[in-house]
Amino acid sequence: MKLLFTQHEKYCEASLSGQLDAGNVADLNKEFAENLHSTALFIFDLRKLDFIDSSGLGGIISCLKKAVEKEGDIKFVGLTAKVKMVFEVTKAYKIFDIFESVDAARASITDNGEEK
Amino acid sequence: MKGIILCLESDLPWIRETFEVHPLLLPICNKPYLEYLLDLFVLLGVKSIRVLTDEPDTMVEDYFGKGDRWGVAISYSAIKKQDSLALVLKKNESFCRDSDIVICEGGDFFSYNKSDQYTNLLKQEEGRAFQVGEDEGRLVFLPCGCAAELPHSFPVKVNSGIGTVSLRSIKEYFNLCQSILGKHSEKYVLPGYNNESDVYLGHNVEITKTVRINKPVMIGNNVALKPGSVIGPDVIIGSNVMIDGGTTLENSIVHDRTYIGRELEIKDKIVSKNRLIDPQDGTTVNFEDAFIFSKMTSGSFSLVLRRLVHWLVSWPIVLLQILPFLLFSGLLKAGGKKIIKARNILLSSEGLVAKLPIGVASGKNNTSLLEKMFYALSLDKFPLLFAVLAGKLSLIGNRILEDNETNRKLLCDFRAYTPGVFSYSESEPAISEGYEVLIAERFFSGNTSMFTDAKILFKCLINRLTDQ
Repeated sequence: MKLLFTQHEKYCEASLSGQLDAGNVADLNKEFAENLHSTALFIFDLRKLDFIDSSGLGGIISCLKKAVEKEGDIKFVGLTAKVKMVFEVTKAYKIFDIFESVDAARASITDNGEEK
Repeated sequence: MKGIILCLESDLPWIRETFEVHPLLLPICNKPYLEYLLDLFVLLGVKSIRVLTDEPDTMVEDYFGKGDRWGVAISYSAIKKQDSLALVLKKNESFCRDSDIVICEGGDFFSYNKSDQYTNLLKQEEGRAFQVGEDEGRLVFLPCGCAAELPHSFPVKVNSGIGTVSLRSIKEYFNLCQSILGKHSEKYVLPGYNNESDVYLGHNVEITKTVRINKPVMIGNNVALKPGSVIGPDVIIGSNVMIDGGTTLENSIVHDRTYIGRELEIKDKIVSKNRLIDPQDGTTVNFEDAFIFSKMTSGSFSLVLRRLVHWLVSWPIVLLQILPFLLFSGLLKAGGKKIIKARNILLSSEGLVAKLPIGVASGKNNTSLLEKMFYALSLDKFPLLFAVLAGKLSLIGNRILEDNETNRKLLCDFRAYTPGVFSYSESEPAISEGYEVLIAERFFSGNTSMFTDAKILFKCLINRLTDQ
């Protein structure tokens, strides 16, 4: 899996590509924790994420929990068909804010980086 | 009239790729695709059927056997996918000779109504060949002697009462299943008990109090629905399935031997073992997380352990019984009594047979004290203990069935049959014979454990001693 975190002024965009599973979820948690020092608002771009298993889902939920604890949030963008199925079956879609595009996710975050 | 069923895997490749079964075994509302064709052929008046396929699969033959269950004679053969219809008929000339023939070709599903009459279709055309359906999926009717010169296409008969439904994609398959369940269930012979309309239940279905069922639903055999689960509407569940607590299923199909984990939400999907499929676009996700979706196994480890325990427990019984058996059997033989007879015994539902020595003294009508004591000490079971030591039998299992046509038919519907020296129905004096025994044996198969085995052994031995 490839991870790319890009810091913006008040939020951070994370692009995940490949597969997120038990083998690499620790990398996500580690990099997320490092970026959490700068901001608690994230956009996770999942348009190139092919597959996620329960460990990966658990990792994402862990990230969300840490962000919320710091009064932040994570917006999710662009679920692929397989990832969408996993989110639907596990009811994860009920706890995540999911957007069709990065622009829509950005728009949900105000200019001064706070949630509307 | 005779029938030929041509089913090429190459016509329906998605079935093997997606579900890892032969197309003829594709479950449509919990019934294999071939079984619908057999039902149709029976309605057409066909008595003898040949199944031809390019990829023969022993599982097809194991399931359908010689066709006794449908009152037809089924034979099987292989063809090449490039064989034309004319060549197929030529290769099966001896089968087709001197008979009207109906040929099912192409891999479509044929819709019909079990209440309608189809036996006069060929007579209505006054000796002319015709087909029902288009060339991609059709029934070809050939009067006797017509096989010699075959055109590629035949006149299409309309208003035959038989329709065709394409099965070329998983979406079409899903829609067909839901359509049969929701709208056309009365047209077909469907498995399960159907006391309430739109609800079909198999046997040994565990439904806890807090389970909600919204019809129409179809549930197979040996299914466990755990507390809080919501099933339906428009749900088809196969056999040997567990739906864990709090899970909701709607407009979905669950195939045989599937475990579905807790607190999941499944809508508009097909679940086949550990595979989740969206029938609309064919997106498939294989789950490695066994607590979400997995294949239900037969508990192979616990089965091995159970067999081992039976083997170990058999040794002391053998050692305790050997001297009494030699003594009593010697005395009975000297008195002219036959106490052991070798019989062919069914060892599994697949038809595995072994010749085993069965004690003749059954406890009933035993007149002499010697016979009564022989039976009370369960010495008639002694010869079978060696079959346990050889790994052929369980110590505790289902009542042993002799190999005959009736018992073989019985086992078609009793896949979990595991014969044992001592059986559950034997341990319960209130269970005498007939249907009570059948129900008791099935109950045992679904609720067996080491503790139950110990109880059964103890009760069987004590019942014999106290002459119950």
